[in-house]
Amino acid sequence: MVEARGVYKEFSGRAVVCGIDFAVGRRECVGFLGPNGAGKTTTIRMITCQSPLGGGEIRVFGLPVGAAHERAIKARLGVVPQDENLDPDLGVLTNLLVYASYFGIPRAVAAARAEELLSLFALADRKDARIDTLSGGMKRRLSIARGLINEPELLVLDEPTTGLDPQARHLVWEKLRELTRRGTTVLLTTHYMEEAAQLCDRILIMDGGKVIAQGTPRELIRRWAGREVFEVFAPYEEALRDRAAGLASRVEATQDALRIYLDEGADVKPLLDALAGREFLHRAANLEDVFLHLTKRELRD
Amino acid sequence: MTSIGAPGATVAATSEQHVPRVAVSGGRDGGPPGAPAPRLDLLSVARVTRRNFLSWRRFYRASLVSSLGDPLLFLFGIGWGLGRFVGDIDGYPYAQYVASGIVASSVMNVATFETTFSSFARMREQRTYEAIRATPVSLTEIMGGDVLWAACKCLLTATVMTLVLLFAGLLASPLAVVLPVAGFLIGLPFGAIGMCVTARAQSWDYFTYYFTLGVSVMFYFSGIFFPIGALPTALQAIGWALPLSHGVAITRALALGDLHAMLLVHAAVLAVYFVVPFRFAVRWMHCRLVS
Repeated sequence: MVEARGVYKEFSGRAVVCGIDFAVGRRECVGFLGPNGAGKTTTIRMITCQSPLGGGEIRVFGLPVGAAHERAIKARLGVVPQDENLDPDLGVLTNLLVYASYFGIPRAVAAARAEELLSLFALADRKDARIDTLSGGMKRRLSIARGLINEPELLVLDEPTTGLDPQARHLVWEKLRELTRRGTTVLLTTHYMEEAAQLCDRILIMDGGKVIAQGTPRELIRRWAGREVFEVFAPYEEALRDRAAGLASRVEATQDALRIYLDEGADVKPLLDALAGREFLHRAANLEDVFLHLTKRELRD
Repeated sequence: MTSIGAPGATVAATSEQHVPRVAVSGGRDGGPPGAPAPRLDLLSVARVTRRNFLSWRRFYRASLVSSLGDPLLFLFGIGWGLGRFVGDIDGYPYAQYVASGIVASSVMNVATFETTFSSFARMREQRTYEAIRATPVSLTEIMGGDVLWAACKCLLTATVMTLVLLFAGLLASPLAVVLPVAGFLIGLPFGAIGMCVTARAQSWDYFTYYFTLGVSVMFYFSGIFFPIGALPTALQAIGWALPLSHGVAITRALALGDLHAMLLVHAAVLAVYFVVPFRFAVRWMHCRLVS
């Protein structure tokens, strides 16, 4: 659905996307994971033809982005922006109908789809409500519903749950999973590891305008964090750090904790003995470990 | 206004210059040489206009009162009040003379408000432009839709004004039935000029400059209250450079039944005041929003 090579973009001489390659396949859910300022939104805006390509190549549905195919690409895309931009002058249902009209969708078809989307996103009872009376979660769901009104082949969401409370976030996740189950291809950005792990088949970790790692959540965790983590909270002695380093795949000492990583196949027993009598946290390695490990390494470079 | 058809072509040419500022590596990426740049799709323009209509429908009463209140106050206050001391101008009672010009200035006001304050709100505060730009509707078409909507509001205003003037006995010719259409066409250049101001505006305060130095100057020096010929010679040239002067000349000719060949020149000047500002507005808005 999307193929990108050497994508580059600068704003007033400052490079924000520095030559990245990626691809999104049909029925895949791909996430750009990275901190604010990593270049995620800029990349998304180039894919959705809202921002001109600074360099390199992006093909969406096999068509190169750019003026010649802009209309054709946008017709088959669904876009859910980071900051809600629903039409405050129109009601909930009218928002969907008017948005459908921008795609030239016949009114009867639009009306049927709008009804369906409003019930899918649990907004059917608010269809005549004004936008400013909706909660943040409702607005986000309506934004997603709006992005689906043209039955897009690719749905692009920029930080779909930023700013939502936990309940609203879980509801959005549930709906997005339902969409991916139905076969919608999804590309999203997020700075929540949990979100990426929950929703994405494949993750591209971005930092400083570059893709620093990519793979399935499992692959990333196995490759960059290992299997499991023991966390010993400060204060801890240097001796323990040195001892653990000998027994573990990798050790990370920070001011607040000592993190001991074990790879697949490593023996836990000696380490457990070393930690005997201490309070520690033993957990599975997760994306956050991957992310912190990778971004910290970037900083050292 | 025979050249109304032209802007389509002109605008498409403009977007050719702006949209593809894409530095793509390798010649094949931009498509085959001479691939069609996105043309202005009039249906898309109409869809944006319809969106504005649907939004307006919710508050139309307040909107009508504000767009008609001012011109009617001027009309009766100045036309009838002051008119008793002024006598006739060019053979017409003063109230009739002023009324025929006020139609044009009220059209100017309606179009100007729509494409300055309202469009600016949609462009910046509400980010409606951004939302629509994610769809197949282009930025140029969004702007075209806003200007077309401004002209539609002018049509409505001119219709109501014409009816009021009819009942007040201030129309001197059956040609006045064309005033609503004239109002629509005169609205286009003012909508386009307002759009230029909006594309440049950094804040709401910016509009004050245009309203004081543009709209107010036009209101007083475009021949509504006295013939431009009564100005000192140097100022006459300035008077005729103002788009509103040509709008007033047209509404006056229709309201008072005074058709003459110069009307074609007035229409041509207004057409230029539509096409050129709209092109600049499109260019500036692309520079502002497309990055």
